[in-house]
Amino acid sequence: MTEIAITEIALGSLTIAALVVLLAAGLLATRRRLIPQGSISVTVNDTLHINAARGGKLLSALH
Amino acid sequence: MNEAFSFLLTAAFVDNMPLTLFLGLCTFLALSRRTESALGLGIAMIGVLGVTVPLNHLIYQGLLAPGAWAWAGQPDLDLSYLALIAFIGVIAATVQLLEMVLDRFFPAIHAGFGVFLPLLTVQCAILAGSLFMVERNYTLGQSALFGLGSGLGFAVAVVMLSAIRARLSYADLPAGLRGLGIAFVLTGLMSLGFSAFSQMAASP
Repeated sequence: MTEIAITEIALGSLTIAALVVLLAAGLLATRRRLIPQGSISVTVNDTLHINAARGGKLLSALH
Repeated sequence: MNEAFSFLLTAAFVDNMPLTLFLGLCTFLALSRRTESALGLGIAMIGVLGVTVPLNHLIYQGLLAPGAWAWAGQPDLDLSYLALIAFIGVIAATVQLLEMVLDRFFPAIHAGFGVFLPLLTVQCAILAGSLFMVERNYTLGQSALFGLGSGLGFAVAVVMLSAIRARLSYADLPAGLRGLGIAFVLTGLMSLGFSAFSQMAASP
């Protein structure tokens, strides 16, 4: 295998990996900024109090 | 300025993604039942194409094009074989970003999209925008205009189809043509109409 082919494969792999990491980091930072974190409290008929994570389904919180 | 406007109109009408190039027909037909969802899809297409085509241009010219690594002493290096996977990654991230923004600020539109918003990741019209940009050697400015124009053309076409389908919901169609059947016929007729634009561009 020629030297240029080895460089091409190595640099190509690094470029794609760096691009994917950069995009994922950008998405995670945006998610932290846009989607509210923390838990919420659900009260059922003034008797049952449940703490559930934000963004989850009510059915799975009641389960 | 005039040239840029002409380029934008050419991208929107002469190279119309669904009606001239027949790209992105799955979402085009599926989301044209209601005008609200068609308008939402159109705005999403303008946003995604307007962001991804210039962004992919920067990535392609800066990292992947033949000779892009000349500054690092590698003038013969050609990473253009990675263009497809890089473009899909950028498109996926942009769609995710759009989904988060819609979920946060426009929950009604987000709910209206349903499963079709994540499916924009693999929408052929969006990937075609970036691939055309490479094939036609667009500059950064042309890429931005082409992205916005293609999105605008898609939005106009899908809103027009939804308006016709809404009007036809009161028509007494034969049973076999109801639903998707008439949508295909309408798409074909609209495509014939849009072919007139290519004649307009061909004239001096």
